[in-house]
Amino acid sequence: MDRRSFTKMVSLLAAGAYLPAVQVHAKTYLTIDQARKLLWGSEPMEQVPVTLSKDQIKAIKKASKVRVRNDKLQVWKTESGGWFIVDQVIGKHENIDLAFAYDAEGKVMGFEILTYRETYGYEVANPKWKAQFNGLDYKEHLKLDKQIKNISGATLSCRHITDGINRLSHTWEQVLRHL
Amino acid sequence: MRRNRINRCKPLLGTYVDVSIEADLDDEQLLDLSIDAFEAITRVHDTLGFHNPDSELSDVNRWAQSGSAEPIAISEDLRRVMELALNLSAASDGLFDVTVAPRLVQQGSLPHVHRDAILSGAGNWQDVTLSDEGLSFRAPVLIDLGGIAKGYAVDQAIARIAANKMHVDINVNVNAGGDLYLSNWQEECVGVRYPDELNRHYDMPMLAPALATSACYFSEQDSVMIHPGSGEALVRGYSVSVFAEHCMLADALTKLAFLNPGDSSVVRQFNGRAFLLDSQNGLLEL
Repeated sequence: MDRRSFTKMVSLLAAGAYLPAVQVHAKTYLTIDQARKLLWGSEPMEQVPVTLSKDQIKAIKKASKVRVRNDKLQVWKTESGGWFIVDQVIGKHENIDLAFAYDAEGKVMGFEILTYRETYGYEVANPKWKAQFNGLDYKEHLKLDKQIKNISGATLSCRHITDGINRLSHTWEQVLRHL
Repeated sequence: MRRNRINRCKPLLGTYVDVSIEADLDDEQLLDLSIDAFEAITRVHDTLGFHNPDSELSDVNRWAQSGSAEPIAISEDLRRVMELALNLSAASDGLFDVTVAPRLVQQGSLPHVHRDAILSGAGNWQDVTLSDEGLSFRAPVLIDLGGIAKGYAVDQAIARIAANKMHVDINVNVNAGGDLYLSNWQEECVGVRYPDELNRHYDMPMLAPALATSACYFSEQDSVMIHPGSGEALVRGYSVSVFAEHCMLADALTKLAFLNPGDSSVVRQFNGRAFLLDSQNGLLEL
């Protein structure tokens, strides 16, 4: 492409780009089922209903130094005594769904990112916006994914994932290992 | 078989690395390719990381601090990255310099991995020699490849997928926190973030397979854009994006374009195209 046709193309695109649209950067990756296969292969597992008590939340927070936002856990116990956990990590600007595999000794064997949402606008402060993700509603996420292309520039650090792993390791220590 | 797709994302290289692969392959085959791609990126992460005291780069930094004049043998990965880094340093008269790490350690942007390292009055790129034997040093330096290795990791993931034996057309996109390579770039558009309004992006066509963007985005952090001459951490309101044939080149050239947007001769010498973006002036080609 020569420079003139490029400039023309850019100005055409720019007309759209200057609309005051606030975009949320969101992307879907693996489904829960894909992550489960990737992390645990065909090992059978059963979902276990877990609701953390106030004392347990307090203990996990104290040990991991990470806030516990959800008292309900989405966990599956595998035949070998390991765990498959679907959970959410929330940072200042990001909101990430992950699937984790913990072995029977409470060691992280691996994890996969399921969805990634990033925003710098009013949405984060808006409880309604946040609430729409709490049910891990993948239909909603797929809809968001359609507007996303490759984005260059400005990235967040992965610190919150480390925090999330720390919190879940202590959740295993405090709760799951006794189940 | 119909067109199939896999998207995966992993925290690596200090950012989120996104790999998307599309091909006439089944789920298992796509998964295997994605595993290969992340293996290549993990290898670069483990080899060239400044933060990791067990990385090859940390071994080299300890050697560089020891005062030994003997060369230290290095891996192919480190050789390729250092070769481009030193070529760019020479071409830019030292404006690109991977030995500004002491300054980044001093301001807390990099960890103090090497406790006894000399931080002030350390050497620069001219004290580093790359030969068949490896790297040798005339003065104690600390090397950080943060301005170039992310792009190299993207290239390695792409190369690993290209080396597969599946004999089908594979469309692969790798995006390591904005340093990206798109195999079908001619048909792709990209959104470049406004540095001061991160919710907005400037949409433009891809002009080469690789693109990288650099800026000081988060005001709570110190700028990591160190001017090698003055040692100053530059804070600027613009971002620079560079299109190039390879992501390592694009990544490294953004540092030059950021530090001196008035002179794009080196960017052009390496067949790159550089753009400056801010919300006041929009997009400007350098």
